Amino acid sequence: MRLRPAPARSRRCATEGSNRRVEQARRALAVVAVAVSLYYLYWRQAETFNPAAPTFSWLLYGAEVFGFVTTVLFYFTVWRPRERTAPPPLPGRSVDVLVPTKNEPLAVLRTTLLACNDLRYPHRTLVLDDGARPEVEALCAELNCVYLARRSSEHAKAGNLNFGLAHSRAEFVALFDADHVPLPHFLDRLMGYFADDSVGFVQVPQEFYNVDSIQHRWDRKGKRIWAEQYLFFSVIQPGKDRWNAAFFVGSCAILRRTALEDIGGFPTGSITEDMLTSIRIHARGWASVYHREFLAYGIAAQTLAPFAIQRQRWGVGNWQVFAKANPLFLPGLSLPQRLCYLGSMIYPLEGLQKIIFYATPPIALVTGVLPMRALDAEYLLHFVPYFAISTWAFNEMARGVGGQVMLEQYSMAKYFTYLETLVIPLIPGKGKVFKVTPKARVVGASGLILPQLAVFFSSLAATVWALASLLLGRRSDGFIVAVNSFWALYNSGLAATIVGFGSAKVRQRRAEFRVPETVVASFRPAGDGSGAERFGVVEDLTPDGAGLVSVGQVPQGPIELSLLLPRAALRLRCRVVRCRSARIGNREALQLGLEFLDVPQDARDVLSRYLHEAAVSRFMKEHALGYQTWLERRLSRRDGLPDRAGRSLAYLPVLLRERAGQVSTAAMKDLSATGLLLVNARQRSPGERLGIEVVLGEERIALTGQVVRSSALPGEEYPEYLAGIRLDGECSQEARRLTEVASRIDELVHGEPRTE
Amino acid sequence: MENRGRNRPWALFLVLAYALAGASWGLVRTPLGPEEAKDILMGREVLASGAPACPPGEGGDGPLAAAMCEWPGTVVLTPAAAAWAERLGGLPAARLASAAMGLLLVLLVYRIGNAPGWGRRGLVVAGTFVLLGAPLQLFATVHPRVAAALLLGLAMALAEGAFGERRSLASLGLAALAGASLAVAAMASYVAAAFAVPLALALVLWRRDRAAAAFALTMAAALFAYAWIAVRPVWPEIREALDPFRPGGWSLAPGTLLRVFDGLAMPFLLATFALFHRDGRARAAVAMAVAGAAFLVPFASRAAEDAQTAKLLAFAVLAPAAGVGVAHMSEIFASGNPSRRARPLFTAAVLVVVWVFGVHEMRTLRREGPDLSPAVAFLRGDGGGRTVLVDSDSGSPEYVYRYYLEAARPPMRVVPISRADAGQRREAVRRARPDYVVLDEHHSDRSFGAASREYLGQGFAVAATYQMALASGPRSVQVLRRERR
Repeated sequence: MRLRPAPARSRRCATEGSNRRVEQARRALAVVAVAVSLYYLYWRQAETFNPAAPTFSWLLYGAEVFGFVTTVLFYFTVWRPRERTAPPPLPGRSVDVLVPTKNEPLAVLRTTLLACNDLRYPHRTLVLDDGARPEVEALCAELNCVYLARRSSEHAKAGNLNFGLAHSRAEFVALFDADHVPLPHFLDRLMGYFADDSVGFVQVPQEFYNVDSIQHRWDRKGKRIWAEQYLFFSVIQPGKDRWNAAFFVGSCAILRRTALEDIGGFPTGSITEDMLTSIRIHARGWASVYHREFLAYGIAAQTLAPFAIQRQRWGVGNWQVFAKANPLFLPGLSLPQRLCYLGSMIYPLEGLQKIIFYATPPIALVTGVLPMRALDAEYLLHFVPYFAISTWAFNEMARGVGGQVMLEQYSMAKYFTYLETLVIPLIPGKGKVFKVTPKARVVGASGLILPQLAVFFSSLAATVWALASLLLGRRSDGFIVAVNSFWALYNSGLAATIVGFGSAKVRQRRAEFRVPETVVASFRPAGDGSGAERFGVVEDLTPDGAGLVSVGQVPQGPIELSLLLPRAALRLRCRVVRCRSARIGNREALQLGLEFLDVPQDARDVLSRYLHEAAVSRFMKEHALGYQTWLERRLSRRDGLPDRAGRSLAYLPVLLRERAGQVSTAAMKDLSATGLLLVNARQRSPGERLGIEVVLGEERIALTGQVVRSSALPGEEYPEYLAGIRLDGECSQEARRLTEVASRIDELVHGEPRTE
Repeated sequence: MENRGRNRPWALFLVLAYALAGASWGLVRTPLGPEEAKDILMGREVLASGAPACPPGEGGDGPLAAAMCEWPGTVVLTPAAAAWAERLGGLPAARLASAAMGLLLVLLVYRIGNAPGWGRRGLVVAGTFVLLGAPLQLFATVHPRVAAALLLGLAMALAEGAFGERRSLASLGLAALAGASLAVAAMASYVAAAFAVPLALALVLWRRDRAAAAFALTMAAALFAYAWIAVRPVWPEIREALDPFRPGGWSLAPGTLLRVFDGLAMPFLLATFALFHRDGRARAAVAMAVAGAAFLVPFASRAAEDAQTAKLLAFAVLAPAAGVGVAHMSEIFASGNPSRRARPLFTAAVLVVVWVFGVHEMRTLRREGPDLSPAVAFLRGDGGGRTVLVDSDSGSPEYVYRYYLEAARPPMRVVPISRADAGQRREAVRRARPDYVVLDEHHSDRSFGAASREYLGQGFAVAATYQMALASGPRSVQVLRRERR
């Protein structure tokens, strides 16, 4: 077995870059916020209840108290998130990789199985097909995986996993959902934790690469990605890990067989078998490990429909776990473990809390009845500091991945689903079926946005009614109307975002997310071996197509594309399905949408491997970043992306003249008048001189410069390196001209120029 | 409304047109307030005598002169102008002069909001400022506060210019001008001084550069010179006029404070959102701290007019932060929405809410002062005598009676008494021998009925009673006429 160092972590860790002072300050802030909240809640109860509307007053107060309780549990959980460094792997242990599947598309499963086969640590791959599909069996035969199918699908995923466990003799089982693609070093990174015999399971975060999903958000500069589950995987799980309460999330984990046997296998009776498994394992005294490194990439719920299905399953499953293994009473758990599990189980009650928050402003605006005695200066004097410090403390304790408004938007998306989860367990026969989260885009689920539309229209209508009444002099509570109108507008804004965002996701035409990439490619008309070869840069890529940026004439007819991947050059026949162009001086810049034609399976597999083992990791490393919180900006060294002011993103192919006279290709990522950043196949030493030819159609622009930094990109199977080049002074004029070209190309690709 | 660097003169024109319309509405519909009447009367005396009627060391003569002694800067700067305008075109002309200054202030606020430090949001800032309503209503009154607010706005605009100026000398010059402007604002209204000191302090502590020092030093020097030359000679009168030095002065502060707080709740609420916005969050914090000075004013003066002045000045200081707050609110509401129209729509929605609230505020403010014209009309038409005793413990309604009745043909004499006990009232009646007594409901030591009975026992009979709808509730005014013997 050959072990290699793993790539650097893909996201800024919870405490890295924010020194001890920051952590101390944010914990002190949390204490102050709790104290202020306690005083506020005491004052609310003692001074503000409206005697004319006691039920309304108690309901709103209850919602506020629920928010306080969950916040305190959150602070407790994330008090001191644990960061771990992977120990060296245990050699010579037996591992079986279990991949449960039911109805996932074959292409999705194939990608996962290819990646499982690429895992470097010795292992077997077992496919547990609850759909008993012959094509899956054939796939397993082709890829040398063990195919297992049950006669019945009793106990859903848990039953399937137990079936797999019964056919495995390995000491450890690694689990991947059918859409979770592990990186080759997954087992190497995690097996070392099992040197400690008390460790029952090791979990890593679930990261999703389809960042155009309903769960992902881009910042306004298109530079950072935020996902709804980042808070959980980046802060809450490391926080739980500190209390030995990190839980198994059903995929991307390794479990010790003896720990599973100790609890009688994967427990059935809940459709969230993962949480039930964790709580039982913890109750039996086993330890858990959460290793915060993205070692597998999956597919997030693409639209609102699968998102709702997934969250309903989690919510219902939560209550089933609550009934079967109540963390408050289950013997064997420590107090912190009880609190951590409690915090993770009561969240569907948020549905009740949110509907109170959404209904309060319309009720107050229409009836004039308030859930408090008066909404006056005194109230604001109490509420504003409480709200401000609570918000601030939450953002700090969320360590830069909180995204409070976005979390509120997702609460809006989920509130009705959560309300359903409170009812479904009470209906006999309901909630027992494990619904797999659909991996493809689900359309035609417009009914799902009815609850949000209800909030939107009721808030808006109530606001209009109250404003009109005030304007006509029929009421005199101007400030109350204004404040409640703002609140109602906020709620309608949340609802409008979910409706708009959800609809936009349904309208998306691409079947698969195109991973942004920077790969040099050459192309010529298909079937014309004598045709002149042109260079371009692939800016996004899927196994079915690519986006190519080039300078020159629009190619007529099919083209033959040579994708110059590290260690492999793929020749693909393509059809131009889309073309956008922009005139830059006497040149024509093109952005071509290419569809690959008749891709042989082996080439498709190479592409699939490259995308998941290199491109996705690189892309996520570059973009999936947390924000610096206020305390971090004030008290710690700056980290995150380096400042390279004034650089234009560039998609230009480059020919490098090496010392020995050889010519290699590279892709330019960005450039300015003084420097540029290249992606190339060689690690270069600082100080190395380079002759650079930038290819602009037929024209070559020669530059010279010196390497100032070089770093490896993730994806060891496909080694590529970034090289920061400082251009020589005499090149600045040419570089400035190129910057303009790059800026126009960037504008062509992204709709507007983006500069770093 | 957001321009973000784009030039939209028509939008600014709309903002100014709305401001003019709002101020004009108030100008026509608002009954003459006591502070307006006082201002014009003081101005008339200045115009008549050619100088303030409070020679240093002599203390002046009569209630107006005492007032002039209390406010030497004010008398020099604005009442004379108001009286001059009033002489030309009556009360509307005097108010129009204020409204014109108000429009200039809107332009300055726009200019401040367009500074890079505020994210170049001049239109939203100016729009929010006028839509808040209260400033427009206050523009429509004759009072030095509008001039003070204008000068304060000018100081802020100059300071923005100074801090954005790269050339050192120009920066220092602008900062010095800003300091001087702020000092003159404090001369126009003492209430502005309450804002000047924290503003200078905040700028010095925040900026810590030569421009900030120039600003603070110029302001301090000008204020010191003014205090030495103008205030020191009349300090005893000023000291006497200040509430904390009066019996029960402090205890009256909370009521006025609450009024100030209620009046400023909305701009403060909006400004709070600016604290979380990427543009101008530090400026917003400074603005909120400086505007907080408005809450100190009631501890120095319980006069309603000072509370209103404090409010207008705070509005001017808070306007940019409130505008950024509106922008931030709409950004939050539209955050993540894939539609490009979401943000402008939510900005418009927030501004509509602010507008409706502002209209309501304007109405409330208009009804804050009593409409004494029915009583005035009765007194002018009754013809039963020439002397009127005005007995009220709230505000100074006697100036309104003086404004109207001293101009009557033949002119009538108005004698005010305030916070008097029973003995003092009897003595006032004995000395002034009034033909009429005008009583309102506001008395600190007795009920309206008891006050009325007191005068009935001294040979007066109820001649007329008027009910006036005020924002604080209906209020009665009774006119008692001396019975013929």
